Amino acid sequence: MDTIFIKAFKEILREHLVEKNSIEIDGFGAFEVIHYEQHQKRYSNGKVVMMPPKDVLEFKSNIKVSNDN
Amino acid sequence: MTIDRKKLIELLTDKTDLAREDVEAQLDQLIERIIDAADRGKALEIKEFGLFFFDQDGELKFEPSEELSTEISFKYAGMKPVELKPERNTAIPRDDDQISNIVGDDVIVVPKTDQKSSTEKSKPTPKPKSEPSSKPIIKKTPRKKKDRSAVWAILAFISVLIFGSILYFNRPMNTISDGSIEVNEPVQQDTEITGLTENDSNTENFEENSDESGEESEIEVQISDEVQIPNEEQMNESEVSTQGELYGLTGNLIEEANDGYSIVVHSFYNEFRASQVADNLSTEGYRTQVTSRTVGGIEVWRVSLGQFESIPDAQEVADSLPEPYNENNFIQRIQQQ
Repeated sequence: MDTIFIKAFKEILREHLVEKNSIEIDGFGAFEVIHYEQHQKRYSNGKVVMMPPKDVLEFKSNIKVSNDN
Repeated sequence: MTIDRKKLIELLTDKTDLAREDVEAQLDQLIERIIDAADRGKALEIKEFGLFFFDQDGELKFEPSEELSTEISFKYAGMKPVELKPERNTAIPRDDDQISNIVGDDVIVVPKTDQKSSTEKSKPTPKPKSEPSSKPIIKKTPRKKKDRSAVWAILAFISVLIFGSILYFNRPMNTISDGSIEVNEPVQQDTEITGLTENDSNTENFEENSDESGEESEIEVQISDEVQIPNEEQMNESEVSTQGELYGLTGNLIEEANDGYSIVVHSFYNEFRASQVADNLSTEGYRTQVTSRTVGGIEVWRVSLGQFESIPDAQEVADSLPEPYNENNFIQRIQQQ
């Protein structure tokens, strides 16, 4: 596999994911950036904190293998 | 926007100058290798991009690298959970501070207790009827409980001062209508406190008091000194406080308000760029701040608006900001330097 191809693949995916675009590759899966709003959270010790917002990259794929082996 | 396989191949073709067929073949090969590696129980890592692997349920998963995660969530990078301020810690000390600032250190609690003890000891000396009305207020301040009783005593004393000052300002009207007819106890207190003894009946009472106990007259002088000064200062303070609010979205930054929260609307790698944007926002009238955070060794510069006492206050204002800030913001605690 070509190094130039791998480099270009990484760069293109990074560019579009930073722009919050989703990328769907048939037969493989989809990359999507999910935004989580800030929210309050109570810890078990009673302390209440404000969780910061964040953008998370999530990957969803239909490819599945059996764990029989 | 969604990039599908066809669009991705186009982009890769443009970027690599390879033939479309080659790009398609290489993409298929890459996918195949990822699945093969994962199938063999190994994770395939694309450096500075992420890791592909099969999880326990046999599903193909992807874990982005730290660099990619930071870049995607760059705006919020380095943010940590903010502990919400417990109300108890903030409310009580502030009240104490305010009281100590207004009244000053030389609170008249000590003379009151001295007077209390002296009045208890010197019971035989007869008192005029007008005095008991003023004494209960003094007796209500127990000396033993220092923490709370001191605060309550100060509050009671302030209320007496305010009451006295109100009577003082209303006095001329009262003396015209009532002063000649009856010896009004509050009026008498008022004249003692303020030291203005225009009314004949009041001056008589004042002289009687001073004859009976020298201590009381001293106390009265102290009170009169204190009342006259706060009347002017409190007026000035109230005028100042109405001119500018401590917390808010617009205006100039106030250092005392840096114990609160602000609304972050921009994040930059470049300090100069952050300062530029902050300056532009300042010219629009916002209180702006540029703060730096180090995230994974990289320094990030954030531009934030306003100074707010609490997160709900900041949130409320953030929702009313103009686009795109109203939807694209987050709240952070202001870093005190």
